Amino acid sequence: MELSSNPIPGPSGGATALMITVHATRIDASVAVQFKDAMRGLTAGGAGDVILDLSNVSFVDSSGLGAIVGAMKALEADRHLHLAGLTPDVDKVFRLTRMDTVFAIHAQASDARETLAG
Amino acid sequence: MTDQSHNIGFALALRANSLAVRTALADTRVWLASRDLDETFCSTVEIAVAEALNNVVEHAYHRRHEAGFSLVVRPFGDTLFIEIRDKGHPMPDNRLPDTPPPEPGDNRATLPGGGFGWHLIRSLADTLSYRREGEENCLVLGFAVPADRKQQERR
Repeated sequence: MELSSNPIPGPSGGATALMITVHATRIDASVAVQFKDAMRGLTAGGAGDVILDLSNVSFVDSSGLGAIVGAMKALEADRHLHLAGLTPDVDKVFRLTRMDTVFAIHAQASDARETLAG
Repeated sequence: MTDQSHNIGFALALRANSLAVRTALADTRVWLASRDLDETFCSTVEIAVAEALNNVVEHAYHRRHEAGFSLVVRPFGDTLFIEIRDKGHPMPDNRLPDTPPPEPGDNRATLPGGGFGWHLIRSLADTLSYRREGEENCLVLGFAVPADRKQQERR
């Protein structure tokens, strides 16, 4: 499960948020634990909101969904997890489980970046 | 492609682990795509079957057994039936669970981290049946084939 992270610079030059891109086509039962651990590794001890770019991900099952929810729960209370670039099948899983209501969802990573860069 | 070929499904038997689930889903999706079924229908089937197979691996076999499961895809009339069999533990009380779907709520700490599987299956499948046959679980999911596809078949 490869993830890459890039800080999003704010107006004053400091990082305001972290963009994490998933370089995998599936977040399913076989990689859910790996995904959650990798997310924790990239976000633990940091500050600011996190944007998860899911545009490369074509499929998420309930284990993957649970891992994404778990990644949000692992963040400090003042940090939010934003989701960006949901492909149709991934969007369907979020809508059917109503988990689309607990995340800020952006059509594309660039939209999320603009919103958070301030 | 002859009309008759539309009635031919496919079957596979694999070891019950999460990588085999990926294989089964990929094969199912390829088969569905070869039937010219629309993407929305294909994803509906894939998500529901994924959850059903994950349940076999995680609950029927508790991830321990490397016993197998079988999957049979069979179009019948306006419905696509998918039959999944395993030799793991039966469903509690020998019936499908009817627990309510997890509530999103507005408190991060109490957000559900799981329990979505059966809710997804129930939301996506048009028919659902489960029976215990001897030492075997048999789950059959039915999906109504979209109307535009049926028109194509009549031509």
